[in-house]
Amino acid sequence: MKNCIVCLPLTIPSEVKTGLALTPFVVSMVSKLTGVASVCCVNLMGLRYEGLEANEIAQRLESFQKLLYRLGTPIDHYWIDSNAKHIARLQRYCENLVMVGELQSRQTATLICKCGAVEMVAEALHPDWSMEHKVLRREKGNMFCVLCNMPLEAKHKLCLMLESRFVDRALDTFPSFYAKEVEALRREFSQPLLISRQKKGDYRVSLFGKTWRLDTDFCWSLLFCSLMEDGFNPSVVVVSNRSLKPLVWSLGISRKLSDNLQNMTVIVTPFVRFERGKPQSPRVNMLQELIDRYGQSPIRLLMASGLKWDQKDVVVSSSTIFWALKALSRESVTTTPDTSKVPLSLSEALQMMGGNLVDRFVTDLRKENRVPLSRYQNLLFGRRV
Amino acid sequence: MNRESIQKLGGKVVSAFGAENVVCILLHGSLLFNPHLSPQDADLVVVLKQKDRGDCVLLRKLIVQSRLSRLPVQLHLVYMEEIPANADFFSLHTCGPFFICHLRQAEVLFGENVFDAVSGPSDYHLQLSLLQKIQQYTFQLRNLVVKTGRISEGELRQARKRSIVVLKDLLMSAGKIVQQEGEIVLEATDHFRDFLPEELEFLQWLLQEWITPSSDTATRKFLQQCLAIHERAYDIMRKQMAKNEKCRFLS
Repeated sequence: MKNCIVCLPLTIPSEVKTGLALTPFVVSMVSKLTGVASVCCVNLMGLRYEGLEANEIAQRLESFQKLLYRLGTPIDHYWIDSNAKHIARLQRYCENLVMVGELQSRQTATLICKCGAVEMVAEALHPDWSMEHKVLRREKGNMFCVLCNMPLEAKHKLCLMLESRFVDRALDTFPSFYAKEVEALRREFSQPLLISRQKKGDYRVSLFGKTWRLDTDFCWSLLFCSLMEDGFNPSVVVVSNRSLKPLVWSLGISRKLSDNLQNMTVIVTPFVRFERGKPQSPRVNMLQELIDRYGQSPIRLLMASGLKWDQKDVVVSSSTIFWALKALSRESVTTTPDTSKVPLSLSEALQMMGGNLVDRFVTDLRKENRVPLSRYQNLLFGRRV
Repeated sequence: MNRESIQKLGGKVVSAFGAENVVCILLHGSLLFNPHLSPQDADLVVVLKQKDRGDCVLLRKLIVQSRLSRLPVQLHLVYMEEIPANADFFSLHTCGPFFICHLRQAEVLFGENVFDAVSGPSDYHLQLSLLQKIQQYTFQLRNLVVKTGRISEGELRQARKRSIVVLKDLLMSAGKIVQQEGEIVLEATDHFRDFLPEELEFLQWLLQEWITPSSDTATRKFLQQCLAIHERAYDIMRKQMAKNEKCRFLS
């Protein structure tokens, strides 16, 4: 099996924001520096794609792939949640979960909205744990679906429930200060989770003599198992610090089915906001506009500047592009780049990728100091490693 | 049909020069962005790695063989060694550094779009090159209005096209790269409120199907209206540039 670095599934909007490309950016860069394969997971099912034709969804994926390529951050393999191979595996995964007693059929009181975007266990101790928390709104003690704007109705139904007490196996995180948070999330995931759906859900499985519609989030969360069947060993996963919950959830479920997912490192990126400086500058949060306007290297430097590992929230101003252009125009003052072919260790690569180092590098170039280029800086400049 | 022929021509260029020598072939211009407007030519950029004295002759031969007689090919041949890493040093035909941004939106018929790897242009050079292009178009159109002889159909169509192109340039100076004519007019007149009602009306008329002016009087009136749009765009651009301390206009 090939070791790989992977990001959790991304939902592709019609216009890709710069922040969305940050995790695949890290996946691609670490892959190039360490020599492990890069895998970008993509979610092409679910609420965000409702009403779109299949060709429109395919077009979004193609545009996204092209955009990453144009940024100079190509990906070796794309894992897609709607891929036929993965869908075919779901039945077996569910049967295995039933066999180990983690998946059960139960009469349960549920809360469901009119459109079906929200379905949750009525007695959920922590409603936040529902994967639909983004479409829930609490008003005067009642829960509403923000999509259909209707209150949730109580229904007693036969449901598929997943045991969500996840095994006690610590995760290595980078930066290490996220380890406590990840562990706390793992411990808090302790209630049975509803994974069948009455209204929404395109995947179906047959269990307990009945056909069930599955929750889309549950289906993609089995991605680590699916990747292993595709011949990849996910040894590193990249997530934004706003996606720790889905990480704990998906890894927890996948670990119920496989013992081979023990040694995994999680790279947690800060939450980076890209802000426009001057009014006449392009929308700095729209990746395609930025590449069209400035080319790939300044935008790689812009994104790299945001990876300040010691911070949880980072704001990158578009003025960074101005300084990056100045630095790039003095590229000739750099000393001979590091062209060594030996793969770096993960920790070496990540230290090199610190956003503060990138900022210092840009400043040094602007001051016309002679700067030795690290291998990461070679990549940012578009030079081959 | 045109697109297919262009694709075939691209294939022939790759066969003739060798895939290892062709960096990229790019399609840009109206055939790509406004095909519904009966484009007058097909705009291609061919980027080669190695220079040979016979390259232009060979390209011409391939274009003749492709029989794109109804659609003349505007082909720009560029060599890798001629492409600056910094877009501020680039120009192609009548276009300065800003044209790199335009070429980044081209359709790649072969290879990788090499202009993504070029950095910039800087804001200053982008604005400067856009100003110079609008200047050039405006002065050329003034010459045409002054011209005493017959005005050709081609000259009229060019005046029409450039009346929208100058709006596209204004939008680019404001950070928006828009390619479709309808969207250009809509966005530019929405963003820049300097246009007079009769100019706005004329711009809407320009978006309709092309009809050749029926008389010399109509031709002259049409050119005057186009010039008004050019001059308005030039005026807006000058005001924008005057904000920069390096740029001052005599009053």
